[in-house]
Amino acid sequence: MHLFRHVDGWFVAALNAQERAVLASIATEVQGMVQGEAPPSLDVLPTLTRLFPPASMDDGEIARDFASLTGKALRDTKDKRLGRLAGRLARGTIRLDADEAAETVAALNDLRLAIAEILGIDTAEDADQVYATLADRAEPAGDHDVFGEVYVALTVLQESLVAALDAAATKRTD
Amino acid sequence: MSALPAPAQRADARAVNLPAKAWIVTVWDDPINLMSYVTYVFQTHFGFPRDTAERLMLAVHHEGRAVVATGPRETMELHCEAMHSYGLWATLSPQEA
Repeated sequence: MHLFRHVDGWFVAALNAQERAVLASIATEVQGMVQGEAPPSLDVLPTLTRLFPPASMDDGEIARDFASLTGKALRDTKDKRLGRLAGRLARGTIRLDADEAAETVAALNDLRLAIAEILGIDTAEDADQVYATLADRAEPAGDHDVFGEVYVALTVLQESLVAALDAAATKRTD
Repeated sequence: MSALPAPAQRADARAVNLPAKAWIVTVWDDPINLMSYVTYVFQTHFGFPRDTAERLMLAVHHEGRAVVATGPRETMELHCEAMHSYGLWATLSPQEA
């Protein structure tokens, strides 16, 4: 996995064709969940709850008011930026301006939240286990391991983009 | 935007002179969001200096949550919406007296 770098004002990641295809297909899949009908089917509900968490855990009225106030705008925001991410991945080398980088770092987060649901990451120990499983693995990968690999790759990619955005912000304030 | 009626529409005119109850936005720890990303979000959205953003991020990480904003309900709803847009787990609540 090639990481993001900040080069001449651009945020660049030279992902290979296979990496781009995998990430584009996941972005499209998650976009489909975000676009889905209301009420959502039971199989996508846990993922949507990670992407659109309740605004209150103990007051249903606050949570409902917030959802009715913000639900559509949040869905539209995530829908559009996931679609743009999938489109950029399909086109080739990722080269982003500052605004595009800012929406991409959030879209990558949405992908990590969605895959975390598949992997059942609910605690810090669960997340550590994903890394430990990959590090210890001798056998060929099963489906669960493949999602583990993608999760780790997305994590590293997102971390590199945050670092590149930090570097760019530091440069601006120098 | 909000379920709260505008002050002028309230039946009890005395309420107009009372300061509106403050609301808070709390960001909760979760095992997915990266520490660096949470810091970046706090800096980018709230305009916090890096040390403030890091202090709040560490409070989320070590104490499980941190209050990141306090103010009128409508403003807090906007901050909470922004946190959800970034993928952070944020909640809204009236500030305890």
